[in-house]
Amino acid sequence: MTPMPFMGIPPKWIIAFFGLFHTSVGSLAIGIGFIVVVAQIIGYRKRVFRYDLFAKRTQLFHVCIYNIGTINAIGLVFALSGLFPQFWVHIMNQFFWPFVIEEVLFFLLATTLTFHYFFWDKLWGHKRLHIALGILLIPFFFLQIYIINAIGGFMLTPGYQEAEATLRSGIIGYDFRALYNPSFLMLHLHRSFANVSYAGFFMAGWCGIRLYLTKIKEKKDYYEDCGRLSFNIAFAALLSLPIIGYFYSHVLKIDAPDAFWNIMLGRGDVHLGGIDTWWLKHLMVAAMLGAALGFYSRLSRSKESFSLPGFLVYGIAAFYFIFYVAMGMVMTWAFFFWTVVFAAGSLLLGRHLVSFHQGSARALFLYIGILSFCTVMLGGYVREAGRPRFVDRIAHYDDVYVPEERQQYLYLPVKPQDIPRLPAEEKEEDAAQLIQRHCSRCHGLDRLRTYARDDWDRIVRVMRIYGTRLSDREAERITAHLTAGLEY
Amino acid sequence: MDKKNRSGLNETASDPNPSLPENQEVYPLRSPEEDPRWAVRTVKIWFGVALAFLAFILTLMLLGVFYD
Repeated sequence: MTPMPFMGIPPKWIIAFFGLFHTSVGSLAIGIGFIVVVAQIIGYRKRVFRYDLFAKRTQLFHVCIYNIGTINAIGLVFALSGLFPQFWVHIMNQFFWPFVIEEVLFFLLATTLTFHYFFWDKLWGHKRLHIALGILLIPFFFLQIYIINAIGGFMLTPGYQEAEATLRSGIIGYDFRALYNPSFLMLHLHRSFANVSYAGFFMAGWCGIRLYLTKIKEKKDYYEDCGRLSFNIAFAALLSLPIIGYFYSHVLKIDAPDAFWNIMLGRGDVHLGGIDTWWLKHLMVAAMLGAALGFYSRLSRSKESFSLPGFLVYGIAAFYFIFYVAMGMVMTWAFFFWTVVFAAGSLLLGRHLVSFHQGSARALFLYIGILSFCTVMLGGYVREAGRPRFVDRIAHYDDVYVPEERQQYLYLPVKPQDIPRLPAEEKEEDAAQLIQRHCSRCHGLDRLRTYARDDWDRIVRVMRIYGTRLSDREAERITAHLTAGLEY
Repeated sequence: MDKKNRSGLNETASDPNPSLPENQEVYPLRSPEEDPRWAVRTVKIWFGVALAFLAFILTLMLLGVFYD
C-alpha cells in the first residue's frame, strides 16, 4: 500500500487544496444566487433602483466565480479519479446516476445564470419574467448541493448497513440508502444556510472595502445601504447555524463516532500546526454573532434602513446565551466560557467600529466578511480531516492501492506482464486469521453475525467487488469457514 | 435612508472611472413593447425548457425512492 506520489506532494493535500478552493468559490456562488434574487425582488417591490443595480453587479461577479468554481470542480474530479482510482470507482458504483443529474444541473445553472445577467437591461418591460428567471436559480442550486451533500454525507456516514441495497441488487449506479445516509439531511441544511450566510457577509465585506476606497457621497450611500441589505440576509441565515450544527454533531456522534471524537478531541489532522481548527472555527462563529449583535444594538435606536428594534437584538442575544449554556452542559464549560468571551469581546469591538466610523459599518463589514470566509474554510477542512483513515475503507481516499509487486516499478517503462510476481508467502494464514485481517479493515466483526450462513458465497463476492483483496483460494476458505459457522 | 441619498448619483471629475449610473432615483421600468422581441422569446423558451428539466429531475428523484 503506497500513496501515489504527485510531484512530491502528498495526495491528500492535493485533494485538500482542490476541495477547499472549490468550497470557497462554490459555496459563494450558491449563496450569491440567493442574495441576488432577494436584492432584485426588494428593489422591484420598493421601486428602489440601487438594490436592482447591486443585484446586477453581484450577478456579474457571480457569472465569473461560477465559471471558476466549475472548472475547479473538474480539477477535483481529475485529482480524485487519478490519485485515488479505487475510491472513485466505489463512489461511481453508488452515485453514477446522481452524478449524471449533477452534470445536467451544471448545464441548467450555467445557462440560466448567463441569460439572467446578459438579458438584464433587455427585459425592463418584462421585469417579472426576468425576476422569475433569477428565482429559477434557487431550486437548481438547491438540487445541485442536494446531490453533492449526499455524497459528502456518505463519505462520513456510509449509511444503514453500508450499501445494503447494493448487496441485494448488485452494482447499479444508484443506491437510495447511500444517497439518504444518516448525516445527509443535517449536512444539507447546514450547508444551505451557511452558503447564504457566507455569501451575504462576503458581499457586505466587499461593500466595506469599497467604502474605504471611495470618497463620493453617493457611492458611500450606495455601498452602505447595499452592504446592510446583504448583511441582514447573511445574519438571518447565520442564526440557524449553531442550532443545525448541534444536531449535525449529534448525528455524527451516533453514526460516525470515530469522526465525532476526532473532531471533538482535535485528533489527527483536525489539530493542524498546533491549532485545533474545530475550536477555532467555533470561536470565530461566536465572534461573528457578537459583532453582528453589536452592530444591530448600535443602530437599534436609529431610523436607518435594515436596523432591528432593540428588544429583538437583546432577545436574540439572550437566546444564544442560553443555547451556549446548554452547549456547555453537553460539552465542556471551557467551550461555554471561551465562546462567551469571544462573543462579548466581538460585540464591544463591533459597536466600537461603527462608532469610530461615525455610523458607517465599513470596518465591521470587512471584519465579519473575513471571519465568515475563515469559518467556511475551517468547517470544510474539519469535516474532511475528521474522517477516520482506514487503509482499505471504501469511502475514504487516504491511500491508493498499488499492488506490492508493482510498487518499485511505478513510473518506469516496464510492462505489467514483465514484472516478476512476489514469491508465495511461506506461512499460510488460517481462515479465521484471514477473516480477522480482511473484514475488520472496513467494519467490526460483529457485522458478520447479521448475515445468513447460506449466503456467504455471494457476500464474499460482493466484498471483493468493494475492494477486499482476496485471492480465489482465500475467498473459498473464508466462505467455507463462515458457512460452516466456525469461530473467527 | 432618506430619499435624497438615493438620488443624483452624478460622477464628478474626481472620479474618472464612473461605475454608477447617473440617475438612480427612477426605477427604469418601461412598457413591454419596448423590449426586443428576440430577447423576450429566448428567455421564455429557456424558461419553459428549464422548468421541464426541473420537473423531469424531480420526477426521477421521486421515482428513485420507490424503485431503488
